[in-house]
Amino acid sequence: MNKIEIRLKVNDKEICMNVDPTMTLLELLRNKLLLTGTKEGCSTGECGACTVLMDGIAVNACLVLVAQVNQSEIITIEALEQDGQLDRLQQSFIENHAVQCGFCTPGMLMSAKALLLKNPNPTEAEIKIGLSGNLCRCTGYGNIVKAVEGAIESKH
Amino acid sequence: MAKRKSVDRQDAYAKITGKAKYVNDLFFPGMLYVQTVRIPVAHARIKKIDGTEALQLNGVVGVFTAQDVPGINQRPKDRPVLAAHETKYAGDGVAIVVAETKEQAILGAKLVRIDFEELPYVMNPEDALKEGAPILHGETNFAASHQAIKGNVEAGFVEADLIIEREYTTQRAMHSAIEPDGAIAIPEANGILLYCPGKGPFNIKRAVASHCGLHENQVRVIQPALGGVFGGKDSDINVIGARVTMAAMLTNRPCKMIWSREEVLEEGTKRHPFKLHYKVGAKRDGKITAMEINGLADVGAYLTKSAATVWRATVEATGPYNIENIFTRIEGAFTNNTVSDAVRGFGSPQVDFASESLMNELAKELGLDPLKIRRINGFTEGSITATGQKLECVNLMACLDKLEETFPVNKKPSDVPVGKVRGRGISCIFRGEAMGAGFKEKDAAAVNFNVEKDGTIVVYSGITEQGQGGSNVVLQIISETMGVNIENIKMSPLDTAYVIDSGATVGSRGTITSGNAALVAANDAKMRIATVLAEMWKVNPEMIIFLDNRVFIEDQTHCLSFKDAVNLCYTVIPGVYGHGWWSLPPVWWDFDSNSGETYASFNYGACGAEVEIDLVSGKVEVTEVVAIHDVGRIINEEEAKAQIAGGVSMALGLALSETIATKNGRLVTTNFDKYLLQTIMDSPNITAIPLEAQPANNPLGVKGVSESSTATVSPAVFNAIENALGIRLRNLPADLESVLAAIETSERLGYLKGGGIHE
Repeated sequence: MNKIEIRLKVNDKEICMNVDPTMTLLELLRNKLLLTGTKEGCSTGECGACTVLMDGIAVNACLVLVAQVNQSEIITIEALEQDGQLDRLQQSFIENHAVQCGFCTPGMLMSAKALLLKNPNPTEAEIKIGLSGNLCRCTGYGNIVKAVEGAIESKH
Repeated sequence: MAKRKSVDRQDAYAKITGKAKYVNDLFFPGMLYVQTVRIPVAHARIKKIDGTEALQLNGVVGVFTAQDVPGINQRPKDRPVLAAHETKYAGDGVAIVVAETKEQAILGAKLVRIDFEELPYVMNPEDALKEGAPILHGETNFAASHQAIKGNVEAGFVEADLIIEREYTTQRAMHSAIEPDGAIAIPEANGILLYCPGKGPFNIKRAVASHCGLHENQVRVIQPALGGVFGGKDSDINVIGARVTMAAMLTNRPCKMIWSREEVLEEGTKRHPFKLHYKVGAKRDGKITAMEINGLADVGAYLTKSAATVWRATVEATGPYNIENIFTRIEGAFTNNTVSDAVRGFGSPQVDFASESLMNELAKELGLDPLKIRRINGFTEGSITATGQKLECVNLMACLDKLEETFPVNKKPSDVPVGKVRGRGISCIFRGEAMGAGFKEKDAAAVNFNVEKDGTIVVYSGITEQGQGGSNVVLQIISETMGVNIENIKMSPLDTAYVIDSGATVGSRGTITSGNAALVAANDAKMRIATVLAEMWKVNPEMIIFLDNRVFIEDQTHCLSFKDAVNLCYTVIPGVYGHGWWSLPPVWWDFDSNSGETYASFNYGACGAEVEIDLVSGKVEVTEVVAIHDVGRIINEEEAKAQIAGGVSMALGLALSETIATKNGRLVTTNFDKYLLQTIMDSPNITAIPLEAQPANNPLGVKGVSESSTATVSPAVFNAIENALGIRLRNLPADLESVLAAIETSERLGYLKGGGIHE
């Protein structure tokens, strides 16, 4: 199959590549750019472990084809910590004991980030809707909700 | 001892930044990809496997079958690395394709031609034991049987004023870690290096060595980050580890296999479905006089640890009650279903669902309060179990007291919306801790550490960090015993080349074994340092205090920073380190007389659940769960709560939504679109209460915390459903179909469904 050229920005870095058009964004991130912080849990958009930001919106990277990300800006878990400074959400996940096995955590954090970018002061119900596409088998979700609440701007 | 402060987890940083490396995040030069080939029927005789066409595909390096397995492919009744002559369920692997890329391996697997003959299959354990059923292993499908007999059950029923008989069933469910299973094998000069996430790295080493014809010291397992276990990453990971190892040995290149989610569901092990028949007799005042339990578990296609699962279920089947006359027999049968194996709770959730549903049914028949019947019959200090074991450190009544205080079961629900009903239910549990006498190995763990010259510490523990926070417990105990900041202590990755075999991290044994071993190791290192300083300072070693990164004597006439003290020691003694072992007291079981000391200790718990049921759709929404668990002593309160809450969430899936379904011998629930885990939208308000009543009989006073909460929730939910609907459901789960069917049988509910208005 003919390769296509895509240009995009990943974690603030300009990227231009020739890729197989059947490749998913998840494969691009993990296998080509070696950004393995984004996880693969089901490959069908059910678990949310591969959630990244695409132009500020949370997407399941396993469901996005590379052609769709041409000219887009992608942010992954690797860019959440800036200059050695944890994002407020990350800090809050530690403080609220919202991390156990950690496999859903990058996706969970990126969904939460997308939510707070759009709605800096979400209610508990809005937080739940914002994270409803992310499965976690460890926590029972309570501490994750608390962690997002703990990162809300107005509470600081 | 003062109550400990909750401590943040050291493993969290890597996990929140994407820096934690799980097995699928690892890549090695020249690495090949391995794909399993299966036969899509429940039972088949393999006539011929032809890899010619696959081998012609660009990138395919090898196609291997059972004939290529370098060691023992299969032990009797157990899972083979690859099925040789016959597949016994649709998930059985028969060949592997090894290729340069994952895509080529998947494509290659589709080109492997298999000539097979479909055989008759059996998917129900009752049918499996009938005359003429297709036999899976040897002469019979009979796989396991355990009994617990106490007193004279017939005489006990004669004494009873009331006898009731009920039957309960539990479904096939899955651990469903979000990380799919996988492994990487790297050939080295003297053996194999295996990156393999499993809860029993030493078991993996032994299994892979045996399957691949290697000595145990030729297999080195390094554990990457573990993306959840919940009882899984056990038998499956042994098979995966053996497949990548044989591929690496046969190609002499690193080989990786990561199961897709569909493969995890199709080949992966599941929770045993149980059918349990209970007969119970009681006096009018609520005192139980006799209980007879007959159960049958679906073992699936291979044995794995089913005998131990059935044994635990047999030991715990009555629930935490003083009963003079007991007969329990639980059996297991082979079927052509996916293999049943360990899942969080290991047999307890099945029997707790039945026995705790039964207690409510009995209470209702006797006109008693459900809490009262539990108080009348519940275990207290010195009670004798069904297996004749005298109990110590019994905290059941403390759990029930806390339940009464935090979850008044008879509280009338307020503000029930039109077309909905609400109800409340409770349950309780006793659960054996750690391996117990169902396994033969000595139940022990080691913790060792080196104190570096800069005063930092690196720790080696054989208990795995699988998300439960077990590593942090070890760091915390060393920190508080040595008086060293936890930031200065690091857990080394688990590598079987350096770490002492401490068994598998199962049975909620992690904190009990490695926590106490950490205490022994820390005291060992302290004594080493104190002996050196005592001689220099001309004081008794016992006078030396370790606190706040300093080492001193009380009047401060001698005081050193911990780092300087360690440096000084390095000039006098050959090294500064701590070695610690800790074992649980011995237990035993006599299979002939069906008696013994089953578990060294038991934990207790109580649960309350409130449900709101939509009468139109049948949807059960759990609005509140209170889960109280006797943990002996709390090490890290927030993490203990997190373990309990996680167990509750998993159990809500068991109660309401999760079922592995098959059609014509094949799985239909092949991904998370059909196998329904609890989402954040389903998650109720969970109040997790780790309770400190009497401490356990070990130096730290700790009990296990990770599993009991998976067992108490489903009966509490079903008791709440009965409270709401007035109808008893006895089959897990309470999905839309079964609840709606129950509602439709009730005239009263039809009336309420219409908003209380007659049409």
